[in-house]
Amino acid sequence: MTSSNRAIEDLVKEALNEPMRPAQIAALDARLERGRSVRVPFLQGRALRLSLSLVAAVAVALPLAVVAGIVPGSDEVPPPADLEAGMAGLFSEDACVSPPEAEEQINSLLADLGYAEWKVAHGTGAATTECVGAGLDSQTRTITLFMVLTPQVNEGLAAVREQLYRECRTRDEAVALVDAVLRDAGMEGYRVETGSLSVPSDRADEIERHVEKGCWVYSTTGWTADGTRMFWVAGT
Amino acid sequence: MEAIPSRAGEISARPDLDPSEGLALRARTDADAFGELYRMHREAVFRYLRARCRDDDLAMELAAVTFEKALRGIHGYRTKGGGVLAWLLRIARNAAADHERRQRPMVPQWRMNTDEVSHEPSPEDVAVRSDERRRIRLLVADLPEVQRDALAMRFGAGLTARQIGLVIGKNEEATQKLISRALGRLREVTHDQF
Repeated sequence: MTSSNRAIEDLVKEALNEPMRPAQIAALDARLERGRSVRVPFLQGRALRLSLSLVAAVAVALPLAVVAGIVPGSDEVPPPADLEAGMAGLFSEDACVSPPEAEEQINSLLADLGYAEWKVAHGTGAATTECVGAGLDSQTRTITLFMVLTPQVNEGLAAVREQLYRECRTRDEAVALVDAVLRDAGMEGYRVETGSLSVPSDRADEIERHVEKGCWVYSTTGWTADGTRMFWVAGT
Repeated sequence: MEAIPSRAGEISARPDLDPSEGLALRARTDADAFGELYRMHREAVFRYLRARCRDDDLAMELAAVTFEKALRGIHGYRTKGGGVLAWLLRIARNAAADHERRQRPMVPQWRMNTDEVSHEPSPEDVAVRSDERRRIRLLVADLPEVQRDALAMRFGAGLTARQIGLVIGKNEEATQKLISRALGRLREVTHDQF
């Protein structure tokens, strides 16, 4: 029987039922065993550790896979507190730090604090974008710059997000509202597409109900491997 | 039927409970029982998380978080709310949601898709089917959260509509409708693909 003739239920069942590979089972067993033996939460996860070490600009935009991909091997070591604090002072959500500024300030900070072995790296598109944030990886002693949106765009998107939570709009209307903010800010070369729903945790139920009624909302942003900015709307 | 020690240490037989209920109750004081519980349900928890977050490595990490939280919370386990697996999936769902909140904005997901590597054997038919399954999982992961959760629990973890409803806070009928809508949506988007 060809797949085109199979019911979608069968396809979904087969896809979601695909068993774990033996190597995955072994890895999961090992993680649990390790955690139980040391009696600490056995898994913080590389991604989580990275996100925790990110400085203030993380709230603006962080496609974690990109950062994880360019900062390999991030593991248990927390970043030095003085470096983390110093980095937090360089970035904020309401200011745009350009890549050259960021690099200069970070290098100056590293020199002042005596972290000569640390280096600065550029994530996808971070060398040419208008504003950047930064993430610390203690294991590789790397500070990675990544693209963030300008404060103006963040502010505009926050307003659109709230508007779409209040009002019930179609997908096309939601896309148009997001697009207007981006065009007003002079952005080019981005894409607005349908994606998964991402909502503030404290309003999840309310917004899920809103979406279930057929209302579309602005979800989130990220970027592609070639640096194209992506903005996602979500709905049913 | 399994003999189940109650909280008060009595032995009772509960035909309405699934076999892992007894394990869960024993696991409140017996680490080996928790290990059995883990082995019984790790696959379902992983499959749910894989369907939800579309990345095998992340699903593994969240599965580990789920069982660690379950281990810490097993003392409070009660035989209600859809069974042990539903309880575990509730924990898994919260763990996944916590993870998403911490790293919002989300990962540009298609990038993760392109990075995904198939470890399937080489024969062409197997490879084609494997790719098909992967694509279906990505489409499921693109559904609205509540639809994605319902499908992942139904077809990935094998919960009934009633059990799913207990996890996601809907009644059985609403959950069944949710699943039907999700399948309908997938049918639409796969029309030209499969």
